Amino acid sequence: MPRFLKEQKKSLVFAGLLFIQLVVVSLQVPFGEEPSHFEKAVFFVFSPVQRAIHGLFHAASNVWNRHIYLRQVEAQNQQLRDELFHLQQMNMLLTNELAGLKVTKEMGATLSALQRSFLVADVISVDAANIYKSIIINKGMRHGLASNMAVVDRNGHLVGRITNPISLQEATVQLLTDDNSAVSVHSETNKVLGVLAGNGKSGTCWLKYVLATNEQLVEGEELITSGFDKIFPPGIKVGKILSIATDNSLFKKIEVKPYLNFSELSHVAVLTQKMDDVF
Amino acid sequence: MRDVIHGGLGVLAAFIVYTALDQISVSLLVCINVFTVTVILFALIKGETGGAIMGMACGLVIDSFSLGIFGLSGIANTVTGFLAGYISRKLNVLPFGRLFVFIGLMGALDLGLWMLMASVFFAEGFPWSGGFFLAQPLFTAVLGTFIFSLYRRIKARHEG
Repeated sequence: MPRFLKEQKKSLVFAGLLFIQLVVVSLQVPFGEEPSHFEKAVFFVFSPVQRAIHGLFHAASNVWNRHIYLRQVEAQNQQLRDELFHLQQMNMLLTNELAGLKVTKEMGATLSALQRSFLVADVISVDAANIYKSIIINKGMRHGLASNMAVVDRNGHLVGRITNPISLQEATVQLLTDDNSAVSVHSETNKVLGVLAGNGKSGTCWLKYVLATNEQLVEGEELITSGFDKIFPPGIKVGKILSIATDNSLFKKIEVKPYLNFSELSHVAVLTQKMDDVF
Repeated sequence: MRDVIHGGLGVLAAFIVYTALDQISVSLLVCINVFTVTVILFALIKGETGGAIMGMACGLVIDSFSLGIFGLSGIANTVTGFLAGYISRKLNVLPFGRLFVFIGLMGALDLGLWMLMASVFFAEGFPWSGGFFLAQPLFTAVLGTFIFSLYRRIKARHEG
């Protein structure tokens, strides 16, 4: 090796590493949203480690709750019993309502399809660079998950959608607070249509493309999914309007507080079937 | 070969700690970047080449578990790792006070580079969390200084 190169070896290695990564960044342009094979490979290798750590913490938490901190368990038990009673009542009412609309055989098939239409998953991690972008859940391709399936929280509020990379037992969920997220929504009262895009900075969202001349929207109004994007089923609650401002642009500047609560995001449900296929 | 194994174990350890912090509280991840701490420490121990390679490895792992631009954290951490190793060879940063300031500055450099590239070149947002995000260099300095001091004591005892 020439003497000059030997002396500058470290600088050359550094320049080489930077060049490789600049190439990696540039290669994403044709790929767009789709992750590269390298990214998928790293995700496949490391995501089981996340799952294992989550399992360890979960086991430790169970030992604490079941054997040491029993008072909290009793309070939780009572709360769960109350919730179960409430849900059983609702289930009965909805079943009766459905019985009036369909014959018994069809109703049985519909209820079975409804039970299979969602999959409960644990949140095992959040985005490594920006917590408002994505989460990782402990269900993957092996459980039938695919890209663009809607994800809701325990209260049925929209959380986001499944996106790549998806491994065998883990999947990435793009949160609706991600600045690259877009959800077609409308206001519950006046059906004013808009696109909800994440802020990416503070856990709030922007409601875009509502004309500045629109006077129908008010602060505190609830937004729900419209279903026009063919990704998120219609009727899922998303959030409430925080503030409405008008500037010189064509559209209003509307800030939305999503119902998504990061502190309560330990379990989510993935909607694996479209509601049209169920009903 | 031993350096490669140490590097691999370092990335794995950082990933395990990052996942463990996530289980405790999401807020901890906003103010503590364990990957940056790992890169700076590796650079202090192995030099600029080791620091740059470790930076690339840690950065690409961060990017694989993020929906942001793949390679962004890699570039920021590579530059940080190289500079941390280079400067630590030129200046004596081993005294406790200097070490704290040095690691804090390297942490701030890493964060600043990432924010600059994210906002200027790619128009990506970053999680302000009420400004808590900007405390990252301070927590990096505290954690990095503590771990490196512990490493030096253990190494001195081992060699002694």
